[in-house]
Parts: sequence; C-alpha cells; structure tokens
Amino acid sequence: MATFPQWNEAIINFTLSGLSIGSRVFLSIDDASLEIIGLSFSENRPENGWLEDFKRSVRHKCVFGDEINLARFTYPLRDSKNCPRYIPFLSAMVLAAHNMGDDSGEKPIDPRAFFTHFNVVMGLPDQQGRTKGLTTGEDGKLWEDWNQWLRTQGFLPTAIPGDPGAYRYTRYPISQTVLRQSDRNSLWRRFTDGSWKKNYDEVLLMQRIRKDAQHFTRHLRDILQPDSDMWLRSYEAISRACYEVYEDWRETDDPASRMGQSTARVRTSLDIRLYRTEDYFSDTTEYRLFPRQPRQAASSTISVLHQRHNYTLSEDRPGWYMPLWSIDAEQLTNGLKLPLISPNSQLQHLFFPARDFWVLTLDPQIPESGVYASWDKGVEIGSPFILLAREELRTDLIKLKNEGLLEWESINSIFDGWNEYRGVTVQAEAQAWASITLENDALRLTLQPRTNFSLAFTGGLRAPRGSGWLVGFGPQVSLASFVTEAELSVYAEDEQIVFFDSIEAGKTIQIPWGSPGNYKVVVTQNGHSDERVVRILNWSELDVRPLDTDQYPSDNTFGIYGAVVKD
Amino acid sequence: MERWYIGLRTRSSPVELTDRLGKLVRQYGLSDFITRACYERRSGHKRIGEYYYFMGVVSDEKGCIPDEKYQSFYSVLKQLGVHDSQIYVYYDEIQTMASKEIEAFSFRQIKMVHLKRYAPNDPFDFSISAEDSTHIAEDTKPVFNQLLLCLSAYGRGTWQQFRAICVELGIDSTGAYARRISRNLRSLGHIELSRDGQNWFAAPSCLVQIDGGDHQYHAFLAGQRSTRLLEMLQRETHAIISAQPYGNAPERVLITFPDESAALAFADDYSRQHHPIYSAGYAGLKIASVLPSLDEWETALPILSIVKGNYHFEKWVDSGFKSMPLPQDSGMYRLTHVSERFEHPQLTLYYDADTGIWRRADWYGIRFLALRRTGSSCDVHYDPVQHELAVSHDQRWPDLYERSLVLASGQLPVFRNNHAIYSNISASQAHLLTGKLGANLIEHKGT
Repeated sequence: MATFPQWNEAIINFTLSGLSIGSRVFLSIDDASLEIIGLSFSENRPENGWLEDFKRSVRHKCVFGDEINLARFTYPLRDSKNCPRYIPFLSAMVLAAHNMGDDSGEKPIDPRAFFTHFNVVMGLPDQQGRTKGLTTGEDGKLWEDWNQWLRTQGFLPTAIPGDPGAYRYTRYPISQTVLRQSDRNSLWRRFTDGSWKKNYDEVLLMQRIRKDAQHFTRHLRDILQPDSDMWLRSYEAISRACYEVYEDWRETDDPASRMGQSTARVRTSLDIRLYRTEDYFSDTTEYRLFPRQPRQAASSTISVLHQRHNYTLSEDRPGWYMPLWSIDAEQLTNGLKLPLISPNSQLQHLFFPARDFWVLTLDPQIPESGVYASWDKGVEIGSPFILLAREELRTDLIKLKNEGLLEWESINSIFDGWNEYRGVTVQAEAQAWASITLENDALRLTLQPRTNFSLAFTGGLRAPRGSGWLVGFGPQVSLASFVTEAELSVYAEDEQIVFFDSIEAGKTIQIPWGSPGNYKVVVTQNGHSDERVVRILNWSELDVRPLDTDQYPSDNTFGIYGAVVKD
Repeated sequence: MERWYIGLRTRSSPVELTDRLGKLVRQYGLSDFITRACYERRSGHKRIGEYYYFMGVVSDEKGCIPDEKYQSFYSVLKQLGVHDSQIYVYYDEIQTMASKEIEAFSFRQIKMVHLKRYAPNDPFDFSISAEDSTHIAEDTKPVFNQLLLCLSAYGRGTWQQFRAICVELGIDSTGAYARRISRNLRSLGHIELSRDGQNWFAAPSCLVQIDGGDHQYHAFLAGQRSTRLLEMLQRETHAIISAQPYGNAPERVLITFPDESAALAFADDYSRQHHPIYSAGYAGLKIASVLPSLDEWETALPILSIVKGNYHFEKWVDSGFKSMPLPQDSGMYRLTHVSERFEHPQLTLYYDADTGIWRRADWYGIRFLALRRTGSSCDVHYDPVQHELAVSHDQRWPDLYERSLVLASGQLPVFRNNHAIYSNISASQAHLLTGKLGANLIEHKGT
C-alpha cells in the first residue's frame, strides 16, 4: 500500500515525465493512469488494484467522518523541497471529472453532477451541492497553488476556473480531463468499426481522427475544432491522449470486448521511430532505429538480440531510448518485429512499422546538433524538415511542389525505392491544401499545416535536456507566419512586461532577457494567441552528465579517456 | 501600404479561377502582392454569365502595380484569360456593389526565417584555422570556462553542436576556429572526439597528479567540471586557478592536498555525493606508456575508401599544398570533392603509396607521419634542468602524443622561436615518447 506522500510524488513525476520546459501540463488522472503510476511503486499490485489503493490513501488523508477535511496538508501547502503536498486530492477531483458525462457523449457535461461523482471517489454519501467540509474556494486555492508551482518549474499550467458563480471551482478539475471515459470509448469504437490500420504515427492518427470527427463525442468534437482554444493551446496533450487510446486498441487482440475497460494499459511492444545522422566525410547518411519509451517502462531492463549482437536499451532522454542499429532498405520497406528480452516488464517485442513515408525534424532539445529524428511532433511551419518517402510518392510530392504548397532543397536516394527530400518547408496555409487531391491522402494530412503561425527560438546557448537557455545567452525570437505581423509580449515571473512590440514574420528579433527565471512569451495574431515559456538559467544550475565508459567511442583509443587510462 | 482590388470581368467558374489563381500566385512568387480574391456570389447562378472577379492586392497606393511585379502580374492575367480594365476599387466599394455576397480566399505564403547553416567541415583540419588566437578579444576569454561547463553538462554531442556553442559564446565567428579549440580541449584531457570527428564526448572528471617538488600532493583538474565542483574545491582544498598561456582554453585548476590519501578521500567523498571523480595519477606518463610506436599508431588509424575520380588532390610540400593530378607518392594530401551538388568538406588524409591505402587522423598527426615517412628527421630539444621539451612548430606531434606532454603540467605549450615548448616534462617521459615516435632527442644539459 502506498502512502499519500508516495502517491503525491509519483503523480507529479508521472505528470511531468518527458515534458520539456514550457510544455502545458494537464493533471489528467484517470483509472488507467493510476494503474500505470502504481507500477512505479516498489511493491506488488494490491489485490483490488492501484485505483482502490489510491482512493484508500486519499480518503484516509482527506475524509473525516462524512466530511472533507484538508487541514492535514494545507498548512503548509508545500513540503520541505517546496513541492505541493496535496496532489492526490486534486487528482481525486480530476478522477471524478473523468467519470462525468453519459456514454454517448452527446449531452453536454453538467457541472452540477461533479460532486456526485466526487463523493463516490471519496467514499462519501451523496449530498446536495458541494461536499460537506470542502469550503467554497478551498479547492480553488489548491489549484492556484499548483498552477503557481508549475510556473516556477517552467511549465504552463492549464487548470482554469469557471465563470463566477456556483460552479466556478469545479471547472478546475473538469478543465484537466483531456479525454473522458466516454471520449475514449468513442475513439475505441471508431478504430474498431472503421478497421483502422495499426501503423499510424501520432500525427497521422490525429489527422484521421479530425477527418472522422463526426463519429466522436461532443466534447471530442469541440476540442478537435481547429479554432477552439483547447486545440490551439493543448494540441500536444490531446494528441498524446488520443494516441494512448490508439496504442491500447492496437495491442488488444479482441478490441470489441475490451472497450470501456480502464485497466492498466500495459504495453507489450515498443514502438520504433527513425534517427538520422550524416557523416559528411564518408558522404553517408545513416538511419538508425529509435525506440520510443513507454511511460511504464522507464525503469525496465530491456535488451534485444539482432544479428547475434545483444543490444541493451538505455535511456537517451525521457520518452526515448538511445538509437539502435542502422536500418537497411529491406527493414525500412517491410517493417520489423523482433522479440525483446525483459525480465521485469511485460514488453515482448520491438515494432517498426512499414510506412509509406517518414517525417524527420531536428532534435527539439538540441536543434544545432544537426540530428533529425521522427519525434512524432509533426511539422512546424517555418521549420525545415526531412521527408523520407517511397518512390511511389514522388508524383504526389511533385504535385505539391508545383502547386506551391511544398518546397525542398534537394532529393537524395538513400535506400532502394526510397527518396530523401532535404530542407522541406510547408509554403501555403491549410486552406490551400484542402482542395488538392493526392494518391496518398495520408501525405496531405500529415504535411498540411496545423497552425497559421509559429514562434521559434533560435540561437543562444541552450542548457541540456530542454531545460532552458543560459544567462547572457538567451535566444532570439522569430515568427513564421502567413500574415506579415503579430504582437509579441514577454513577461517576467512577476507578470511585469519586459518586452512588447510588433514582430514581422521572417525576421529575427532580440529580446532583453534579464536575470535567470521563467519568462512568458505571448504572440497574438488575428485574435489568436500562442504562449511559450523561456527559462533563463544560472551557470551554477548546470550539472555534470557523466558517461559510462561504454558510451565513449568504441574504436581504438588505446584505453585513453581524456586524462584517464583504463587498466 | 494600401489594400485594394482589381476588378476583372470573366465568365470562368469562380471556384476554378480561384484554384488557378492560387497556383499561379505561388508559382510566380506573388503572394506578397496578390494576397486574396473575392467574387460576386451571384456568379454561381448559371444565367448570370459574365461577372466581376476581384483580385486583392497590396501596394504603395491604389492603382500602382510595383515595377518588380509588373511582368509576373500580367503573365498571370494572361494565363487566366482575363484583362486588366483598370477597375481599381477599395473593399468598401465592392461591399456596396456586391452587398455581402463575397467569397474570400487567401493566397498567403509562409514568411519565415531561413536559418544559417554551417557548411560541414573537418574537425581535425587545421590548415584553414589560424594558429594564433589574437582575434579572440581579451574579455571573451573567460567564456572558455563556460564552454567547458556547457560541454560537461551535455556529456556528448555532435561536431555541429560543438561549433554552434563556440559561435554562440563569441569565440568563433565562423565555425573554423572551433577545430583548434577542440584540439586544445583534447590536449588538456577535457574532451574526446570520435575518430570520424562527428561526435565529441566530455572526458571523465579526474585529478591528474603532477610533480610539485615537495612532499605535498599536487594535481590539476581534467575532464568534466561544474560550478559546484569548482566551489567545493576552492572551499575544501587549496586550489589555485590560473589562465592558460594564451588564454584560449579553460583555466587550469591546480589543487594541493597534504598527501595522496587526502586527495583520494576528497575524490571518494565527492563521487559518493555527486558524480565520479577519478584519480588519474601521472596521466602524462601513463599515456606515454600505453601509446604505441608510430608504426603501430599508423596501422590503427581508420582507413577511408576514396574514389580517385571524385576528388581534386593537393599534396603537402614545403609547408603548403600543391595541386597534382593524382596521388603518386606517400604523403599528406588534401582532397576536395569535384561535385558541388552536395556539401562535401575537404579531407586531409595520409596516402600510403605502397598499399594504396588512405588513412585518417588529426591534422598534425598526418603531417608528422608524412614527414617521418618521407625521410625528414624530427629533432626534439629537451632541457632537463627546466624540464622543458621543445617540438618544432612544423613537426607538432599526433594529438594523443601531444596530450601526454600537456598533461604533464596541465598547461598548453607556449610558442618560442618556432617551437612549441611543453613544461614539467621528465626525462623518462621525453625518452619514452621520442623513442616511440622515432624522433631525435637532443638534450641541452646545463642550459
């Protein structure tokens, strides 16, 4: 059984895992995610599951008699490391919100139903209105503290209150449920009924889902609207949540019978993407297999046998393992499924899908490295990318180029039957893409722009792991857009404005970044805005990243590593 | 700038016309002039026949078609089969005429920053980058410390990233001097480069022992470092931080412990709490011991297969490269790819005429090998009193052999009278290294 502080720490870790500084954070806790979080505890799953253990822990801490009592952790709200102490309680609220709505998903969510679901989670009898003991605004203070803490960590909070009135505070947990159970069910049903293919990447999946939006719940339809606030601000969270449902569906042998179940989504396969490097001297381009790390497998020992060589998977960064061996034309064309050896996880095989094309973008954490990989982030307007496509797609691509929708710098043949298009940029906005018909519609869906403008941070000295920029070496800002201008505002942590001016698309501007801290960058164009965080770090915040000797070059160095001679 | 419309009479389908116009705008690069279009919705009615189609443009004033757009614009009209009847109107005027029944389209194209890319270069090639560092301003030199902090935090990365960091720190405006910076960092035991030069690796933190002439334990810090480590060394030990001879590398951190056990205790304690710090002992001497002879070193160098027809060849002769049709003799060659289609960096390689094999190594290493193989004698001067070793500027050693010399003191060489002077070199180390390289060691006793 896990304690309240253990759940607290584990939920925070789960929520922030794999997120870069500046990401929007959803405390999107549901039955299934609790089961995954439970896997991080160094003890066996309780007989009635981690969900029940979570409820027991929250009830034990927050319920006194028939009432909520938050006194045991609200003073102070933070622990000795300045971390929030109340996250399981907020998670219980989100869990309740997650269960709201009817299965058809057609009726709008009734905020009055929130406390009915919340009382069930907390094991309290049904009551009229707000749960006894939870004074009005008491939960709001916790949400605001969570938002404040996220900002100090360099993330963008997403929990928002409702309009003033009786349901102002229940809007906070409801705003955190990206997908509710009914939304998941409608996705699952569509995947099954429509016999969807099992080789989509995240970007293509989202485009397919948007295309079939009429089949989904009202909530899902609303958030898939390209001009909806949720879509514009939280695309990544929506995409990640939908892809998790898809992965779960893809791995299930009998999808029809499993619909609606919310047990732990334990993965049995590791998805493989592509990692590309260039050797300018031998004039070769290398594509290596790049395994994606499922959230529950972070601490698992995994190895794979390939051509009599045993490869042990080690973490490159949260969410990704180090690249494996070089791929050949046969593997690229036909895909790959190899058995995994993992004594402490359910993982059974590596899965590299056979696809018609791959989009590779620069390493988001170290773009200056020149490393491209398929990070599943999709195409950002204004950022050149590499497209690896089968020869059969050449006609479609030439068509896109002739129509002025796409541009590229060069074409190379790396593998038989495949072409590599380098320096590819999207040239025209989504409206211009809508009327074009291609043989391969997935190509259009993947490449057409999702937004009309995009902010880019270039130059400066980036700290490792996407944690920000070093003081004195902040980034420049540029705007890629179909409209000439936008307004740019930069705010310091105390909300003081440090920069405000119009920004011209295609131009780079310097920002007077000040002392270390988090800066909010807001760009506004035609009533739409996008928000980013730039974190400026002190040099003292850099720590050493030691390497194991097997991470150094394996070629003949006579046992010399810097000044160390290995015996 | 004014936004105005050009009215065009046409019988074509408005949807089809808009599609064609959008395509032509993109083809002729007119998206900053023709930005949108609209037409009378009643044109959808079959009986209407001719109708007004409005092309929305942006220019300095209504009716003015910029000279640089003029030809393209009229080519577009021609291809659309419409004529400019000089009906120039503002949007308000169309609204009045066509009520609200206007369908609007946009032909906007992306405006974006085209980022500068570094042309690929060879990290080992010093023939282009200047030998001295006089272009580095005095006040930028502390950034070499920041460079090492940054590399230590990343742990490893690509050569392109290394160049980008140097450029951002303001110590290399072109990306060319980064090669020499990396050589200095390697000599000091701070980083390693992969043999193809494509990736760098921060070397492990370690204490390198040096002779201090007394009973205390003297060591300098090599490899990865952080602000925390530096602060702890300054707080808990006797640490002296001093600049490198020309300031173009991270400062030397010289630490004095009462004895070896105190040094080991510090390293153990720090390793337990933070990251490992190794005790490297007399690293200069150790490296000198494990390094092979020049013959064995040559054999261990990576081999490149070169298609001779793809390159122009220049051979290193008398301190400069001279063009030649094809490589005939053994020596150091610079290879430039004939194709300009892709970015090919120049290669500097050693060619063994007997075997026809091309080998790759650091620039000085290849030059030294070429000199030895072409019969040049390599004299090295040693002063056993000052413990200094002088290597001719034209005969600098392969990087690992030079590292052995630098790690004897933790200081880069100084340059005097066309020689690189290495300090704190023991006689045994001098003999060991010159023996392996087949160089003549000339001792200057009593000077």
